[in-house]
Amino acid sequence: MIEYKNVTKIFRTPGRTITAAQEISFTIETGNLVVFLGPSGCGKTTLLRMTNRLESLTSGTICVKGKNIMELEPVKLRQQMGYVIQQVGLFPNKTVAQNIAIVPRLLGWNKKHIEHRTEELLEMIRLDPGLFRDRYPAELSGGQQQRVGVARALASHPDILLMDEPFGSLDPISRAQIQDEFLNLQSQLGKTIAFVSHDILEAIKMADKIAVFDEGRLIQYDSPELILTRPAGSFVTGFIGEDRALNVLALMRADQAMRKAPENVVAGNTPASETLAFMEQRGFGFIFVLDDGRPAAFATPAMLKNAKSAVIDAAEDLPFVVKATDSLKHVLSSMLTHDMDTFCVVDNNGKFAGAISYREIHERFLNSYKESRDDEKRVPPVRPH
Amino acid sequence: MELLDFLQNNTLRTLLLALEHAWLVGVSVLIATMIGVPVGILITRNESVAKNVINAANVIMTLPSIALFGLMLPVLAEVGHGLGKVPAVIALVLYSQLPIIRNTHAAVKNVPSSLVEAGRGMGLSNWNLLREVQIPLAVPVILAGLRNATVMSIGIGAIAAYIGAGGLGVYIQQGIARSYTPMILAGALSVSLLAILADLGMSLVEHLITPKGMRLKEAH
Repeated sequence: MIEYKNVTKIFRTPGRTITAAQEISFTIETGNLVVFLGPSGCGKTTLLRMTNRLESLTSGTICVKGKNIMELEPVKLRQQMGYVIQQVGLFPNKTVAQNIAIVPRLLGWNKKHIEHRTEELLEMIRLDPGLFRDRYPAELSGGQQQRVGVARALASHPDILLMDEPFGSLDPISRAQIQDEFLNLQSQLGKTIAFVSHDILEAIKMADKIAVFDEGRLIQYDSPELILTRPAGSFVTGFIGEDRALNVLALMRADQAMRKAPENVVAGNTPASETLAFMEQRGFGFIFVLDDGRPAAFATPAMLKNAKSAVIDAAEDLPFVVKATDSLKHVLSSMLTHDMDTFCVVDNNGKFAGAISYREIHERFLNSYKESRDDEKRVPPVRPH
Repeated sequence: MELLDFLQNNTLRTLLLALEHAWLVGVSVLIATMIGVPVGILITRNESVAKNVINAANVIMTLPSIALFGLMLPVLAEVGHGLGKVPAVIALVLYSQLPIIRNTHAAVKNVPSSLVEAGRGMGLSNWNLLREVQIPLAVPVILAGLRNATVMSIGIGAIAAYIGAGGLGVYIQQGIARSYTPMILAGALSVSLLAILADLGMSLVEHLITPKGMRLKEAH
């Protein structure tokens, strides 16, 4: 949907020549969220701004939906794309509703249609229309302002969104929240998005694909998994950071690594003596106890030795379980926090789905490096100690 | 008190002169605004042009008013308007250019660049951006420039009496000629009062016209 072909941008000022973009070629597929990632000055923002002709190209072409952007008047081109910037830029002299409605109004939509669309958008960004429609930007928090900024960009149903560090000015908690909400929105809307960021974690979380830039050159263009497991050279390796192992784990889910039908599981109403015999026979050091299919407790042979009744009465409560959809990074972190090396995994209904321990996490991690074709590009996996 | 007697005996004339004075200033500021505000907006496109225009307006304003009136005399006498309201209005319009152009230019330039960036990026044309965002946000400062020009013109207008333009300056002029102090005082005080009232009145207009969203910002 957005094709960059040999895009080059050179800024010439008296005394200095800056090459902001060098022969950049890649394609953003329809419906994908692509993060332009790189340090300050790498050219990612310049590339974004060339896409809607806020910046001119020195050479090369950019095609949007098959058409060269130079064939359209800049104003018309920009009206087809939503634009969200870090400072938001809500117009302070207009209400929230008026801000959101500005492009539809300029496009000549009728009043009823605009009102309906404004209400729809406010609900999409989870701001009560009754409360927020007539408020002014000065009365909103940073997070609310940025959400209105996103709504404003979506107002005229553009297929494409250009976003320049849109959540950068928010505190970490608000930022995480709005990222989640935006991902949710994107899963419903399926827009084609170019998203500039300098934050590797944000890129991993948000992107379908990441384009890594350094000093005007495109270094690597791959999915987050591939960027993390097969970084193309020392720049990308350095940029993604020392804790890339943890970041890879952040991309995997508990239900992808867990043991689905472990045998050291027993129903809570089983007699303790029977459980003990079972454990001694199979050599289990501990066993999970379920109550109506839900993990409730765990038991060791010592606890069951003199127990008389059902196993659940003698067992100790489980302090923590993980969800099937939790990331492996979260599972590993929880293991450290709760000082446990094995957890029960539950599904959406809280029912037992499997068990996961450090070993499964480690195996899954190593597997992600398995099919490496090019040994030079491969980052050595973490060695067990 | 002689002053009060004077005012009591000449109420109608005082009011008429005041009206004449207000008319003089009103027409001048109106014309000055119709020239100055568009110019102020246009020069935001080009910084070097802006600098030159503002400098020129500054030079005009540094001319002592009585000298400017004096300069107008022979020039306008050619078209039969060397004396009277025409040269006065022309001079007042020229004087008002600096506060109006300078304020308009500064006000539009000071609209935060993030708003301009967001506006252009979403597909607002230059005209749309001006109309929807930049001008509404610039209005308070532009009005402050008009207020400045008005108060200044009321003062300079008092001198216009010397070239036959009328207004409250007549009391000052005739009072000095006749050494009639109550008349001088009446002129001086009424001009001052007119200036203060104009200033207050325009402050009120400024407050009422400021977009609500901006008033909230000031309150924060």
